[in-house]
Amino acid sequence: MDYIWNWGIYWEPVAAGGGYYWQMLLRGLAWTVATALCAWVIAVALGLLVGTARTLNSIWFRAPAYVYTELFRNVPLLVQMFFWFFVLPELVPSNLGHWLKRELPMPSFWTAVVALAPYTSARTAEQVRSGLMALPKGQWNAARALGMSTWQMYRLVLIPQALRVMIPPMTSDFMGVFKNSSVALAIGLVELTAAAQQMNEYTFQGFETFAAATCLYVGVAMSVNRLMSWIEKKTAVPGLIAGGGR
Amino acid sequence: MKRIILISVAALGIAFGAHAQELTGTLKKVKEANVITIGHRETSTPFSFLDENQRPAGYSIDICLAIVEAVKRRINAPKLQVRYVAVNAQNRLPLVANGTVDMECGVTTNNEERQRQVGFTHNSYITGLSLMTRRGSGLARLSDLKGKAVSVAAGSTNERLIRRFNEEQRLDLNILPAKDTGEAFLLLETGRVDAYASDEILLFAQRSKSKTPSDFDVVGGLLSFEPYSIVIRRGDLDFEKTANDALAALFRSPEYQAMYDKWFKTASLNVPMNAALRQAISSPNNNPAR
Repeated sequence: MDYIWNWGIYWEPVAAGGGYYWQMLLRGLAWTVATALCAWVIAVALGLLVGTARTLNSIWFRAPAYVYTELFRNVPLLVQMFFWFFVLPELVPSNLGHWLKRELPMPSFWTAVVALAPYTSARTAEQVRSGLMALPKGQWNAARALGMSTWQMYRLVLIPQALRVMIPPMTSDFMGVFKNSSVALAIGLVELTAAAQQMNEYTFQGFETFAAATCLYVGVAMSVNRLMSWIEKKTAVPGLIAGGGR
Repeated sequence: MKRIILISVAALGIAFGAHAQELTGTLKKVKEANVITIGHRETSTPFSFLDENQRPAGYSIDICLAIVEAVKRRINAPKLQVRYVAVNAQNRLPLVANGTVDMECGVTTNNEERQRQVGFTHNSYITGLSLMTRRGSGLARLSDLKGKAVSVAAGSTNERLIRRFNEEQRLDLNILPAKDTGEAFLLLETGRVDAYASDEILLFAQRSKSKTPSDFDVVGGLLSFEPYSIVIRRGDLDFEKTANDALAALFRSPEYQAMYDKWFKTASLNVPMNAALRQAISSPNNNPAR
């Protein structure tokens, strides 16, 4: 193969100006982390609400939550991103549409967060629901027997236990949101994958570029993994369902 | 006297001995496999795209087929088969470098950086960076875009140029990188940007594909020198010479004008031959982009 290796490419200045290639990649990484974390925080909040709603007795809560979950799970993320970026500004009143298209600062970033959050929240909602369903009926009955209202039952008994059950599958989703943020390159956000593609276009050192991007993604994912593992240990209650065993 | 005869005989011997029929590089590979592989693009109208029968067609493809005819004569393989492989902007150069594709026939700009990884034949089309704006917006040249929003295809040579112009001329542009040419045009169509910067011929082609072509104007003139060329492996002198001889002959022949008109003077696209191309045809070269 005729490929010419150049591992020093990271320390060469960017052809279009703006620092060195390693800085370009790290800037991309910063956007990835920012997008993913913002989306994740919103996704967990929404997921808790929607997942809980699906376990309530009243149909007025369960039906909308079911529709929400199915809608955001079944449409591909890329299609959702295009919807929020291209279609939504055309559907709203023209003043708001114009503001969204021109005045909104960092439009790709905010659109990426707004698109990634519901998509991820549909998955976290299902995990919240499974976590709640995994609790023995005895917990629900005992809470009721003690005279707790629904809000108190969820807040004090059910959700704390469900969260501990949920930590392993949540970890996959947390890692997943970082990987899914790369889809935002389709709407113009220069996150890590987009920065790597740009670096490849300028330098034609594809192997070095994507090797660096891969290492950075793996690094982020492993850090998330360690963090969730630490949370799991810190919050484990010995003898509680999730706290039993290692 | 004896010395003169001795030297002449030696010189003649070298001259005849050096007439090597030994094929090297791509020509050898093509002769042994009896197939030549052409890399093509899928949507780069009118240079390299899939026509309504999903077969590769276009100006660059016709150029390459002329080269294939010359290769057939050179290696004496009249039944040489042609195989097509679809490529995209990211993998076109690596696929040529590693041998999967023998010639890439698309819209690849010939520039010095790329010449470190691959080789280029004579330039087959000359275009340059230009701008597309909405008709009636009053934006007619680069300096009019001060403070406005511009879309470019991310990572392309055009993005680099626009950023450079932005710095040099202090235009304070808001540059929105888009995933590809189609999306960059979509940003202009939906009003997210005031102008779309790309190669002039690609702007014309994109406009002809839109639903309302008369809403857009290509303005600003040619802001750079961007030659398109056929990509071949670097250092393959034999194949390069065969290809360049074929192209020089094609450019000189009367069929060339008909080939140009077939792709550039159609009902939807009407682009007369620009002066830079006329110059390149009259004296074929592979000068890189400026």
